[in-house]
Amino acid sequence: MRSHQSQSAWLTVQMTAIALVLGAAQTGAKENLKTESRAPYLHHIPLRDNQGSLITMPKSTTQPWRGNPYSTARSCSECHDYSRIGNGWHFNAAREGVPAGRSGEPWILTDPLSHTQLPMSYRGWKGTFKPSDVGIESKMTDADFLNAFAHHLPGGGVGEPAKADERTLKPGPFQVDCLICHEASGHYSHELRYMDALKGGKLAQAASAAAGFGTVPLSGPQIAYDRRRFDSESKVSVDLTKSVHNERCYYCHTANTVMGEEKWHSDRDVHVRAGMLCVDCHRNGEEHMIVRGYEDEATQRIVTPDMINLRIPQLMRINPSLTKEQATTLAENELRAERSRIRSLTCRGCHVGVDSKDENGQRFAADMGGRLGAPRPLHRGLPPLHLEKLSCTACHSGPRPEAEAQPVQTAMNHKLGLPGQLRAENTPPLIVQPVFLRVGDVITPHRMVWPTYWGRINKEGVIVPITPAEIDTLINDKSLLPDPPAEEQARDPYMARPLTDEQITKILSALAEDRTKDQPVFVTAGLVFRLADGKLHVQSKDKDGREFAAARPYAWPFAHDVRPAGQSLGATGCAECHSKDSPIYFGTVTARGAVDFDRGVRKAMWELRGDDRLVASTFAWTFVFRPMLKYVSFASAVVVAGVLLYYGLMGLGAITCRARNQQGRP
Amino acid sequence: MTMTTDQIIQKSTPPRPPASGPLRITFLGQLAYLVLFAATLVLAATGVFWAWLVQGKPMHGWVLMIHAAFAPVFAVALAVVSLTWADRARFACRRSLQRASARVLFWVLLLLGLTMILSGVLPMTPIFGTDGQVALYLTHRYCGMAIAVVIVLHLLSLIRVR
Repeated sequence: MRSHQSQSAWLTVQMTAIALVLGAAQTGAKENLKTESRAPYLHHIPLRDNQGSLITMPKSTTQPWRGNPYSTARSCSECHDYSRIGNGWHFNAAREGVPAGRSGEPWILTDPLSHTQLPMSYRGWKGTFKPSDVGIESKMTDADFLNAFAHHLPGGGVGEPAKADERTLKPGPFQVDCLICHEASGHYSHELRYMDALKGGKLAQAASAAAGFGTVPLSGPQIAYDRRRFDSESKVSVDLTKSVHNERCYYCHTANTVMGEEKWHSDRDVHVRAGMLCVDCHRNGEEHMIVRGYEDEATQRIVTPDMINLRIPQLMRINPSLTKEQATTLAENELRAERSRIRSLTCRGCHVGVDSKDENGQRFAADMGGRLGAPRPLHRGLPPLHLEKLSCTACHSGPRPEAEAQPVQTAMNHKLGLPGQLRAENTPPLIVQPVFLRVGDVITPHRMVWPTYWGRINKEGVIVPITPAEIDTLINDKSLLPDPPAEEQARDPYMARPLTDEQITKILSALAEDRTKDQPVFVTAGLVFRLADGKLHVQSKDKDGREFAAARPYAWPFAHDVRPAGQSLGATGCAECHSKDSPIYFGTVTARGAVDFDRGVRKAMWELRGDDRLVASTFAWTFVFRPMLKYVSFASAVVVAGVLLYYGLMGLGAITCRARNQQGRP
Repeated sequence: MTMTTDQIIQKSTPPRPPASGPLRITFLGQLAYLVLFAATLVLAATGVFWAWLVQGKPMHGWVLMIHAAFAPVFAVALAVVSLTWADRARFACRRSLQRASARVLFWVLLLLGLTMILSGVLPMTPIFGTDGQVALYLTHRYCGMAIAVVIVLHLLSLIRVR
């Protein structure tokens, strides 16, 4: 008996040891599993829930199958380094120590009732608000941010607990949804993701619903799995691609200038029309630090620990004698040297090329220009100075500028990609483009939005926004803005109708009732509204004659859609920019907000750039004489050339005559 | 009777009046030269001194406008100078008061001036692409520097004669 027991114990020990060895080997193998092929790998994989347990189909087919939502952090990290991917550009906005980079599109907090439109970002771009900047008594939280913007957030970031940042891989409720970009079959449903899950705050269930693995029950944190998606081993087949389709990018990065029924006139981006993918230029390594593609990016880009950690195994495999420290240093040096290579993924880098040399003094092939077959621009008749003063996008991107900057709708802020009633030009948030501002010394087209919010101005003159929820409660509790008639509600579902002075006065008066608090103000369209002696006062400048910092617009450069050369700015001549009514100098930009259009602060492009109007207008005026300058110069050149030719021939004749005479010929 | 070509020309051309005194530059020629000199100074001051030596970058704003305003003045003055001075600057002209060095500098001035006008105005036409534009720009810059030196030397050579 004892013998049997000891044998059994020994067997158990042996089995455990084998299992451990196999398990370790398996784990190790999984970490390094790569196909290294350009052929896509068919993901026929098991799913795991947030606790790491396999999601297994019950044997009984009659039994309803409900289970925990699948976890990307657990399922995908079998082969991919989820924690490092989770620090990529799309997910790292709220992380400490991440360089903000050039200003980008903010999330615009839009509240129809209070007419709030507030540009927000965790990156700290000047002119944007962080959630902690919004609210006086009660601050906006990360959860509020998620509720407001989850519809287009890819997950990760603030959707996961801070522990995830410490590589402990403790997944949070709103994990990075890998499939939102990498699903290739086109069956990923953003509508189900939002309407069935995110809208109801069911963050953890969103990925399962969107991928079609199951549906979100009316109640409970589980998923009603669809058996048809699973095989007998409880595995699912998912069509995933590294070459992310443009349609995936467009879900978040669509920008429509041509709206509504006229949309079919839009040509879209010339690169896309030529068959390119967004990710052909906006590339990334496994660390998902996607190339944004602007010219200074190479200098602003940091080498992250994730990049280094991903490179170390490769270096140690190439040179097994390297220590971890040596490999770390080498990886960091290599990655720093490689940063400059992303310059070839800018417009200029791809079409013209950039100067670069590797350690052997050789130029990288990618830096020679013509990457991916990009044609080298001729720019006939364009003085080279323009290539230093203007970004490529100034002439080639967005709609052709008009006398007034035009409204634009973006996916992130107008929920494009989700079904909704027809969005119109005045559907908030109100963003305009192109606004030609300088980035450094270079004129670059921007999109611009003016903050609209209710706030309180403190003794230092600083205006702090009140949360929209607080204002909505006030408006509803005191019936300050009675519901419009049903007919108007149907016609104006986005509540885009501007506020009247009377309505603003009502709300400000209600806010002013609590005299223990700072004076309430309403900021919109570059203006600050406040009550003084019971009357509404509107100011565009503070007591020092400066613009209210709190009312200043936020602007960010844009680059798409790119127009073909024939439609670029200047294609028909210099006067497109150098004339007294050229949009790039004298086009107007009217601040848009919750008041009538003609009340907004209006500025010309030169004014927004801080240019000298006299110089700009005089320079434009001189182009009236430009044809005359050409004619006079050419005529003078012809005269001088004629004189040179005439006397040159005479001199030549004299020389030949003299030579002839010296030879004694008649 | 057969005649040589020279004999035919001599027979058909009326006899020239006898040479009388040195050939001087006309008032128009002198005025044009003065204007040319002044325009060159302004162009060199804006294009070479201010933009290249002081700023170290291409002209812009008022400086560019001044430069562009004096460019046609230079071109016209150079054309008039070429018409009024060329005959006196011939190397075979024995009645001219100009020294050989002045005559050489004059022709160099015309050549550089022509190059400068063309390199200044051709970029305004849709002929040259970026590479050509850069070449023209550099040509314009270096011609400008050379012409500023040549015109000063030319003036000095004229003054020495006087």
